[in-house]
Amino acid sequence: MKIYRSKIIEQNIDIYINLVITASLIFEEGLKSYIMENKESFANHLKDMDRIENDADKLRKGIEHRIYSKMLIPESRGDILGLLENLDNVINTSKQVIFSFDIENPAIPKALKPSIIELIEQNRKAGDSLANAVTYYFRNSELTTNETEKVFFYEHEADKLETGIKRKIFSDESLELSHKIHLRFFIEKIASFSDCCEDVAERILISTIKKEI
Amino acid sequence: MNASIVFLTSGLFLGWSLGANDAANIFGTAVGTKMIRFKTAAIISSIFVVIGAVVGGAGTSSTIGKLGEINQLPGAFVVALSAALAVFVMTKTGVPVSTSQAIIGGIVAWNFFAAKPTDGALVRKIVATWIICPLLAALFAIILYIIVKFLYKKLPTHIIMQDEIMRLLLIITGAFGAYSLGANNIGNVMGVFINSSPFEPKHIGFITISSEQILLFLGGIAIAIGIATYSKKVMLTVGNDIFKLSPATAFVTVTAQSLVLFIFSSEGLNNILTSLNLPNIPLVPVSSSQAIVGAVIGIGLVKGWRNLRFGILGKISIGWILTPIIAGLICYILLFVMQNLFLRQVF
Repeated sequence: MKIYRSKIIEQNIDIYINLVITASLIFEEGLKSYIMENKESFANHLKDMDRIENDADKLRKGIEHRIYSKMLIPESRGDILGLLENLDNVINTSKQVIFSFDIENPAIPKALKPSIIELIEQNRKAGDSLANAVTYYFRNSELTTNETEKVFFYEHEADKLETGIKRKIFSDESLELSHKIHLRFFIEKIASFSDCCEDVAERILISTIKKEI
Repeated sequence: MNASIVFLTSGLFLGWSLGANDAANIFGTAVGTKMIRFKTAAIISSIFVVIGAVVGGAGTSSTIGKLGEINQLPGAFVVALSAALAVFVMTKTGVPVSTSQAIIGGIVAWNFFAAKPTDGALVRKIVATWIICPLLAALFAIILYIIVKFLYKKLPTHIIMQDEIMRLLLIITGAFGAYSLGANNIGNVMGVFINSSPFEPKHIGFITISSEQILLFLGGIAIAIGIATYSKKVMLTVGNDIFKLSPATAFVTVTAQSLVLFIFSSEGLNNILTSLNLPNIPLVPVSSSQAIVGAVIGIGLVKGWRNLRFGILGKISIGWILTPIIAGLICYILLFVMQNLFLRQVF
């Protein structure tokens, strides 16, 4: 019975990690649709993102409730609950970014599109590596650090791209200052996704060290 | 008979304090870290400590009985009481103290008082086990730690499943630890009363319960009451303040400690060694606290020297010398008082 109880929580954690991966993919595909001006695809991704965020919220609360009510993993309970809440920030950030595009409808200059797409891809890669790091944290913590290192790497690459794009924006004399500021806001929004991934990766690293016997 | 039972109270008190203190060595981390509920730990340890005392306690009790053939109940009462007082005094100084060492000091003092010879070879053997006990626990802990770490690497399991497995292992090793504690330490509690037992053998159907088994059972019950009534506080202190072990390292230390206690109390193991023409292991009560300290030091050695606090080793060595001397002095004085003030025959 106890083994069955553990299996259900394990499965729910796996489903939750899959939702993080899906959110990261929708983040990428949704923003690419917006930049490529594919409105129908963007609208579909918006709906998907909303549903995934809701599902992830319910699932996380269920996992947290079970871990607390069944007195599971007392030693690392705090770390795991903290980790799940931080992962929720990753999903929330991806939703916020994609919804901001929908609400504010920023005009993306053609010349910036390739760099922004590259920035989006670097952020998605950080999300993928984070999902792997979380999976390894739960199943085989020996391999966790490889993936957290990848998260740090992609976040750093995203930072460099972010700075480069902002420089391009503010050196383009054809753009209005208000447009420049608006674009800068969105570039920072996109990059905040990998920042969020980095925060979670740092948590995972510390929790992994604490878990060593 | 009733007056005789009054003289057993010092032994029963020793049993109670053993249960209150030493059960924490077995289930302290598991309860302190909330891996196991206190109620579960108390029930398991109470049952297995009594089984250990009755089934496996004869060896150590007979060794204690051989060292000093205390033939009068008042004498046995004083020896057990002085051991309890010595443990109380030493505990106040913060030394990881052993009832085993106190009781030996008391018995030797009784031998002096009664002008009976003390078996020097047996004393040397017993003292050697005090030194070997933490060393052996450290060795077992090192081996077990390496095995557990290897299994963690080779058999990656989900963190939630790991938690369930670890709870089960802590319960199993706790039961084994309680059995070993009962089998090994019952000698301290009831060993001195073996030669002056006030009980007659009892016949229940086809089963005959010897007077020695009745004593061991009573001692086991006293330990169990100590666990049920007073060990929770000690468990929470051990689990949260002193060692701060993870559940996996707690499993290693408790198993190492239990193996040491088991080795020094198992007549079965000794029979096997004899049949293989190997040297016997003396069946002597050893200190579970010093065994667990040895095990923690063993893990510290594998993890790196820097984690170790060598001061604790010095404290243990002081305990080896001071505890029996203090117990012996108290015992000699109390024997004099019992004989000359209360006019009771102590030998």
